[in-house]
Amino acid sequence: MSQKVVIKGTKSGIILVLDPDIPFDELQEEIAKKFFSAKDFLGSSHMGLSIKGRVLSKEEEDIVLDIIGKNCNVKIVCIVDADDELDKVFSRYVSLSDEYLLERRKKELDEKEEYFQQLSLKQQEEMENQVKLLKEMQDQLGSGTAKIFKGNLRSGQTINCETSVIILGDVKPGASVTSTGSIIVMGSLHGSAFAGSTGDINAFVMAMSLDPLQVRIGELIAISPDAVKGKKLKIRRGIRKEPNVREPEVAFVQNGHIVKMVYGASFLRSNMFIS
Amino acid sequence: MGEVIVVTSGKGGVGKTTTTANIGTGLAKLNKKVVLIDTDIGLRNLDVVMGLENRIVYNLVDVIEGNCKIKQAMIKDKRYENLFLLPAAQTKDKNSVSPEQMKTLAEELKKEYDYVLMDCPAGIEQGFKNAIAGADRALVVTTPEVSAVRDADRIIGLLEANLIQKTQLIVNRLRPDMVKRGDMMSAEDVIDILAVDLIGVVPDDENIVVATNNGEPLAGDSSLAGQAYMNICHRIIGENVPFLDLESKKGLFATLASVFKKN
Repeated sequence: MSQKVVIKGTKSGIILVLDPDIPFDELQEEIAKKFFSAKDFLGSSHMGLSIKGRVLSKEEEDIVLDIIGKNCNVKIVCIVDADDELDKVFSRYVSLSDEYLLERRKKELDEKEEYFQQLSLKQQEEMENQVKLLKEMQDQLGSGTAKIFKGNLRSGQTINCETSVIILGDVKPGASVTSTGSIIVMGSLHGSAFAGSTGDINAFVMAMSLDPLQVRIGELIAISPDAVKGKKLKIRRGIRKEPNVREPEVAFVQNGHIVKMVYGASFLRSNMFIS
Repeated sequence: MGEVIVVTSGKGGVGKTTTTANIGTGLAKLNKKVVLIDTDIGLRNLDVVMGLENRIVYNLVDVIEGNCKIKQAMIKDKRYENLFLLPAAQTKDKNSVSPEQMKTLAEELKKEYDYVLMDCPAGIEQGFKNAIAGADRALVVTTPEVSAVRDADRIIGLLEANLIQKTQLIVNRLRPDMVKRGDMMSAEDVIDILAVDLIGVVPDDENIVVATNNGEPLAGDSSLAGQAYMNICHRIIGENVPFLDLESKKGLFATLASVFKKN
């Protein structure tokens, strides 16, 4: 113990902690000093006293009370015995209760953790479900949502869509349209069209006049046929507009190939889109 | 080790792309391994003239940016096994490529091909700088018009400034009948002004228009222009070929007309 005498103040009493090893005479002096110096702090109220650290006899207690009375204005009303046994019992209960509390808290925490784990599992499942749904939705985007683009697409211009796309205009050679879904051109398609760019081979490309340089669906690529032999024919094909009105056509994947069909009564009857 | 040849002119519309396509085809016909590079990013035409537009998947910018391997972007010609095209990007601009990158690419291609032909865009800006970056030889195309000759002069100056020693001239779209009448500069007049070596004279020929529209260059066929281009190819690989006598190769109508004139 660093100090021979320690005074601790509580709400309505003073706890006096005494050194058990030094002789009582020496202790008296120290007590006198301590109380004298704490005179102002303690004031002149009525207080109880409890002595700890050293077992005092009745006489010694009286001497201590006398010293306190001489050195400060505090009126000691009663002396509370510091019972070691009781202390031990108390402390045991306290520690027991601590342990109990700890255990309980631990249990609660465990329960909570389990709950959270279950929750997170559920959430994970939910997330997975959502991702699945999203993927399905993306796959279905071909027939689901579509962006509408108005105007002609000229050489060097590109459209890149996360949905299907409908173009109200022509797509000129050198222009390109890319879409994760399908591409519908309400005009003539002479440029490049890349449908199902994320790999959806159910996507299709449709145009009022389907004469593209390139059509890609998923991983597949189809290119336009090279010019037909015969000079005059070639020129007519390349430069002049064909005199007859062309029927709308659809390009889609069939048996691992991109095929082109006239979008007419026979095509609709064949239920190609459904398969 | 191959040779990198840039086909340039300064002025637009004098026939750079047509010349590139025809010389490429001609060299391929002479069993050389040839690659044509379209450096006209944003305004590509060489693929159309070659009739390979529908085969483009990757382009020059993809190669430069490393999106694909060189082999993937190469398009094999329809008719010649040893003729390839590296098309330009249409959706980018000329600043997406730097002269240093083009030089590296040219060096790379030189190892594998006998001839690397660069189709230069019109003008003297970034595209021109890109095209001439790795060139060993330049073919300057001009028509016998004052404006084209003036631009060719400027281009030759720039080529010299960029230390391209071998500069040769192609006089394109010459009309012998107009030269005869004194309404057009002759090839000799053009050489006098520009003071460079002439490598070929190509007459104005309807067949060129037809061939361009068909996407099948006519180098080496029976037409006058086809023969002229083939001769240029022979000269490029170092053979000595006499210049065509453009006068004698008159059409039937012209021959008849001259007969009538005599009477």
